[in-house]
Amino acid sequence: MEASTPSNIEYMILGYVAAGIIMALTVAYLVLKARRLRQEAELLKRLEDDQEQ
Amino acid sequence: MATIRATGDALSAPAQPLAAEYPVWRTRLLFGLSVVTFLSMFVMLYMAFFYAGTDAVQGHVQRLFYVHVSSYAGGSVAFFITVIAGAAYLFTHNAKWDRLAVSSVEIGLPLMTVCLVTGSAWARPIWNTWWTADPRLNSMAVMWLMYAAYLTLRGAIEDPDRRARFAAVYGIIAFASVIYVFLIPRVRDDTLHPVVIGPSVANPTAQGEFEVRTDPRIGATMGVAMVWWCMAAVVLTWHRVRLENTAARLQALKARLLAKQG
Repeated sequence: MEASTPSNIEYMILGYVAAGIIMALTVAYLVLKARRLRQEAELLKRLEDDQEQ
Repeated sequence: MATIRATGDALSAPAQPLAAEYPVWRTRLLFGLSVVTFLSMFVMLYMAFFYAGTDAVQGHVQRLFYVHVSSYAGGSVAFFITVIAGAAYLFTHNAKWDRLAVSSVEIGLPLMTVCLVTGSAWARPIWNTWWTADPRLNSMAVMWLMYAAYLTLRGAIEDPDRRARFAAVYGIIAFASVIYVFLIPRVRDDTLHPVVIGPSVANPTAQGEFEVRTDPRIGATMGVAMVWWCMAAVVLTWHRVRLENTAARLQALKARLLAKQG
């Protein structure tokens, strides 16, 4: 008797969704870190200007 | 002082403080690579879902291998950058190499997490378990923990030079675990894990092999996926190291402002 191809598409979807979430979190981490550094840079710039005045 | 002037230059353009200190061509190259990587992701996914056929024995879940194997390749590239950066730091004692090393670990770790998670999702229908005490799986988990410990231990050392030296040596030694994970199904006969690229000669009991070498569509899809994940590792590491460089410059500026106040 010939074996049929198993139906396991839900595990494929699970794996791809999990991979997508991990990569999205990684990119979000970079974006948030960049935003925080930008805010910090602006704050320090203002402090530096105040000191110069 | 060049460092302080560079920081000032970076801060003089608040709209783009993160890119101000780099040559324009380098920023454009990174932007171009980022766009290409993002767009080619859809090509890779198209090939994985529609171009490569469905494996007759494993079914759709076999498509996870295009992510599982290639995310390992991408993670390995990132960790290899850690080795290069660590060696360069030990030779030059230039902090930029330490920043590159930590950046590459921070990118390699999520890529290896993708490898672990997709492997687990694949194993459930094929091996009938999410996880088993298999030499390949255990060594992969140990490798993941070693790099997670790299980040934790870095945070525990306050002296920057000592931290960088420790991280450089640790990063070089830890890469042995990456090589070990790669070799283990090729040399041990007691692992369920298939070799994937090439026959599982050493372990005939491996379960879940497929025709990556003999089916051109599967081979092409795997090749594209490998290139994509390696490219993603490089692009993300590049972005990450820029942030680390910016953080270092801001730290220097903070110190200068505090010194002025004092």
